[in-house]
Amino acid sequence: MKNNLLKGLAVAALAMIAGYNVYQAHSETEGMSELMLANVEAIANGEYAVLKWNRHDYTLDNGTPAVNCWDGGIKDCLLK
Amino acid sequence: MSNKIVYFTLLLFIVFLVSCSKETRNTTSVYFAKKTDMAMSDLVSDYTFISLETKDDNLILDASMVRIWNDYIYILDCFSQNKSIYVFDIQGKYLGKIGNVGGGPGEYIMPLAIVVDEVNNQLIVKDVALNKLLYYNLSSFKYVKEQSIPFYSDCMEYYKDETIVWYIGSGCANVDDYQKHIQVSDLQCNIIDRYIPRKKFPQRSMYNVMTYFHKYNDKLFFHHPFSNVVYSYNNVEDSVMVEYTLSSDGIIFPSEEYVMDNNENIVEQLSNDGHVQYYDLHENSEKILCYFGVNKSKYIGVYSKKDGIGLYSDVEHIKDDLGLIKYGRPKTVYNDFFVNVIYREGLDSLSENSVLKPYFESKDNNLNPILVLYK
Repeated sequence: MKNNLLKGLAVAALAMIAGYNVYQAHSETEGMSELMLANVEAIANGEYAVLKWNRHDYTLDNGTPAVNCWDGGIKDCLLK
Repeated sequence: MSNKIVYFTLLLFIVFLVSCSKETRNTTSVYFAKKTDMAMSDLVSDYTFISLETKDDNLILDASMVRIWNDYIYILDCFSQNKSIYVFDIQGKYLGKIGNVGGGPGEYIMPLAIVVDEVNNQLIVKDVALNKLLYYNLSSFKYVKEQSIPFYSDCMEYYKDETIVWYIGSGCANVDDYQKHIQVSDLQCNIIDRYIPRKKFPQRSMYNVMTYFHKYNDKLFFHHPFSNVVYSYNNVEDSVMVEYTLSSDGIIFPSEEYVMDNNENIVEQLSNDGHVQYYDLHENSEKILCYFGVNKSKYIGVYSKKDGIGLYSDVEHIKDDLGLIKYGRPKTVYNDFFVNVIYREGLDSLSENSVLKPYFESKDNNLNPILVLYK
């Protein structure tokens, strides 16, 4: 009787472990967002573009709007 | 099945349960409830002041970025006509400038960020006009060297162990040249790692913020422009994780999906919808401060890490029960104290019992701002 109980417990334990692993694998696939995938992706080639433009909108602490654009910029760089 | 196998299986099960009980990583939902009667004492329980000394050549008109390290204060004034980087000791005594405006060695045109390299005792300045980093020794304040930056970035932060983390939004025209939002480099700008595939975010990325980064406890946090998801970067685990999601009642922090769906005229769309247009975060052991803006209104959210409770208020409506004038934009964190800047133009509005009155009434003709360190 005792042995049967132990065997039953062991089988149940194995079933739980297996079940959990299946659940874990499934949820990892779903939850493994781009973030996780990003970590294992190959690093891209090492060539860089030159600086195109850099717009920086900012309000001074006294409330005055400020903007900076460098290297040409596009129409979006005009302070409205 | 022998008893040994049965016992072994049960032992395995117990080990499995114990291993499962170890940490599970959760994203913290940082929620701010509206508080219409917020007082300064709700934000500040302990504070001290540092009055920055004024000399002939160091009038600070706008403290765009403040760094404090090793009891030295570094202030970047990059948008006013007095463009410079000023150094003070922790008592506020003026020690000098770092670099000059110009095109020669050791000179900058548009310094948009300063970060401290703690390992090499140097200040690193990012000049976006010349697209280079300039390095200055923090004992002598002298120029050491410069390094051209071979890539575009919106903002950068020194992390640790001689690494710099760069955020690349959509500010560069040639989106296809950059496949990830985060680049980690050494001090020579050699790329070590890249994280987070590039999303279609708006070109007007740096809108009313100096940086998307903040640091706390060896962790580096950042967020995409406009969106409510805050990530952390950890070089030990070599990973980028979602750490916080921001929300509030009444005012919406836009999701990444909203931002991508409205990327053509994002600032105008956020304005029309009354959503948060920009925010920055600062964090100490007890609180997360979120300073955010919707059109011309500015708000401060304070989130208690211990209680998991957050409150926010329009900064104009915060009752000044401590005599600290109005609440401004947090600039940095030093020794677990948040640091704000108080400009002396508020002199006329000081109440009789204001704790700042002695600083404003001193006869030393001091025009420079006062730093308030608080928690």
